[in-house]
Amino acid sequence: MALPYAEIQKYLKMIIKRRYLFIVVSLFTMSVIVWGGYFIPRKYEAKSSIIIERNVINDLIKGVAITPSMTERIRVLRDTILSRSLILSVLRELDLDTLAADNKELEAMIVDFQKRTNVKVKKNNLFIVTFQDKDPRLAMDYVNSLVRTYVNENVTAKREEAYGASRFLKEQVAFFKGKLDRAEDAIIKFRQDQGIYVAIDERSLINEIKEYGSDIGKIKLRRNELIAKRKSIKGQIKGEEPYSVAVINNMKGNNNILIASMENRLNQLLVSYTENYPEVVKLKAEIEALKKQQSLQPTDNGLQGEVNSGDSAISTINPIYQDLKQDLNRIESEINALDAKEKMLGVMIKQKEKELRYVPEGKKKLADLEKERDSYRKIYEQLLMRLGQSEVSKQMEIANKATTFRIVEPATLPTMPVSPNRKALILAGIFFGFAGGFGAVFLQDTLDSSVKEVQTIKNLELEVLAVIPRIFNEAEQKKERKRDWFIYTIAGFYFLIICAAFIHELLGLTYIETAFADIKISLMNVIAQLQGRLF
Amino acid sequence: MSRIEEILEKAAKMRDGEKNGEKSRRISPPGSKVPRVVRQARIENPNLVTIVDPDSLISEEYRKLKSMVVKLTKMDDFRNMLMVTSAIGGEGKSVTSLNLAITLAQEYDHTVLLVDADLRQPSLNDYLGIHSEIGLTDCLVDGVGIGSALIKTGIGGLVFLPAGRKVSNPGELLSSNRMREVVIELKHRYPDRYVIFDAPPVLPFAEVLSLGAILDGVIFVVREGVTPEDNMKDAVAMLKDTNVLGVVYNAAETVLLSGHYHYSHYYQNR
Repeated sequence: MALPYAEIQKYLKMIIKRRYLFIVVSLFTMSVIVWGGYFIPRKYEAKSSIIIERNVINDLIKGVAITPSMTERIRVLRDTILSRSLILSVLRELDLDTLAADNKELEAMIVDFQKRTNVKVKKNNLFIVTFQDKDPRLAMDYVNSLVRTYVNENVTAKREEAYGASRFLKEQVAFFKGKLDRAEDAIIKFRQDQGIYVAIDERSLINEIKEYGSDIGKIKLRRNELIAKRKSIKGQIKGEEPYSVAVINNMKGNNNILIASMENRLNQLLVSYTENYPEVVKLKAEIEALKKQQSLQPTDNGLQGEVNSGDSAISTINPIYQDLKQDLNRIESEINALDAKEKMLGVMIKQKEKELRYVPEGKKKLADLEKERDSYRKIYEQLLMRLGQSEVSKQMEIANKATTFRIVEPATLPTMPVSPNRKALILAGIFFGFAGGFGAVFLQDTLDSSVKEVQTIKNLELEVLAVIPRIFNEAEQKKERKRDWFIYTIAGFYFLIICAAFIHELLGLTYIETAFADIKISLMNVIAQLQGRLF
Repeated sequence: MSRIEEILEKAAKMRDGEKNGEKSRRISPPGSKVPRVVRQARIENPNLVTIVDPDSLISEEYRKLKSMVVKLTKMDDFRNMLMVTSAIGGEGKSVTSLNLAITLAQEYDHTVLLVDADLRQPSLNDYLGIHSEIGLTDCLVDGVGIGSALIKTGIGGLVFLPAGRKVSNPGELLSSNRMREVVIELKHRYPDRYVIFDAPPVLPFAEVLSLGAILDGVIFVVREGVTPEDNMKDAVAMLKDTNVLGVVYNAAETVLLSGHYHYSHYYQNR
């Protein structure tokens, strides 16, 4: 905001009115800042630049190996480089720790070095370490040592990290392999114990039960059918005689021949058929009947007498009766077979139902075991993959192919001091001098409660009849002018000295500093002498 | 003052006037003691700019002041009895009253009587280079006729009444009835004459208020960087029963920085 003209005039008037105060305070403040600056010891800054390089291999093996992220590294870089342990090791390397009398002093020294060490990161991969000290050589040595130690420790740490990761993964792989093996063994054992049960599924079991049920139904139907048949045959049998009477020639010798031929026939049939075969049964019965008849012949005279009068009458097996008998036997045996089959099917249904009840429990146990095994297998496989990556990473670290720190600019011996910036200090002195002078004038003006402007009167609603300028009498004016000239001359001359000091600094000369150093030494000598006299 | 003395004084005045014109005269003071007197104004003091440097900016400002005063006093009736005072003293009352009186007197239309009413610290004598031991106090204490104490300065129509001898009770004198009578007498002696009282400051001396109350107007002087603001306010508040015509802002530094210098250049080039 620009000051209005009236405001500027007001301040200018204020300064003119209290010009001596302005001059004295201004020059005093300038002197304190400008000459005081020469008592501030020089500070030199050593600087080292380190670049973090990312090897091209990193991109090639992306996904195969895992290398620490650069941003992560840079994030911790500042903390790491300023860590107590690192600074302590640098101090030890430079034998600076011997300067500390005890641990407390050493700690203070570490904190001091930490504070003075500045780490700046530029463009994400370049970092600059700076350090200021009054001894340029110490600053250079410290920065170089700090950077070297950091880089070395970083490489070691990276390798240890890679080895550590690989070792850990190996341990984990072995551990999970054991677990996986145990889980698989448990599954095998379970399968063995449970046998086929675990392989059957519920649907097929139910189908089988249904099938057996339907078979039983069929059997029952068939049996009922057979029972009915049996009843009918039994009825038929009752109406038939087991033997029928036939007239035959009374030729004893013929019976024997007949029996013999029938027995031959029976033997032939037995070769191909069982005892139950109807033809066999029939033959057997006929043979039996003929033999019976032959043995009965002498005792049956009455009968014989009748028969002997012509052809003799003989009783033979009734073939119908025989057929019915055979059918009955067959039905009986079939019924028996059906009963047996039904019984067996009943047993099987019960067994299947038992299996069906057991299936869910067994399956669950197996599923749990399999789940456990799968989970171990998954972890194991992942670990195995990571182990592979870790191995590649390790090899990369060993071959130093991953991210590397390269010192692009080691610290050199600083020749020009960075602090104090005397040019800036002198300019600041001049600025603050005038500001201080104005401040003092302003303060005095503020403290002065007298009327300073016509407006004050107008504010009281009084009429201002006239504004009379200050009257100078010539003698007084002359005297004042003389005094002013004297003071202005001295002040101007002194200000010129300050300006000369600025030019001196611009030219990079050191005369003033040398002079001040001499003054400093003389002062210290005087103080030492005074102290000697006092104590 | 007896009638005989008045006649004698008049005669002497006429005689001196014949000899030396208006600029100087010599009167015999009353009583046996005849003081050594210088009744000739010798203007050497640079503060009397209206005489020493009439073309200056400052003189011009005094002329402005005069114009204002004339304007304010010639309204309905002629309010010719004026007092110049300030808050604490050292603010330029005497110089203001002198320069105002001179500028007024330099006009053909006005005669001016300047009364040094600052009985404690009279200074107008010195400014005018006049040494006279008869003045206002003598008139008030001893009853000396005012006419005998008046001094014609020779500056236009400016007549001067010095403070007179030093007394121990100036406050009582100023607030006395005698003072009131003197004021009335002065007011009515020459109705067209301005009478300007150079009074003591307001805050230390209460008598100023009683004097101000019987006069027609008060001119209040404020000096830049000297008069404290609070004191000015107090003094103005105390003068509420008087007719404060306005304020003269004295010794202003501001003007030096503003364009007022052009005036002096104008005059110098003339």
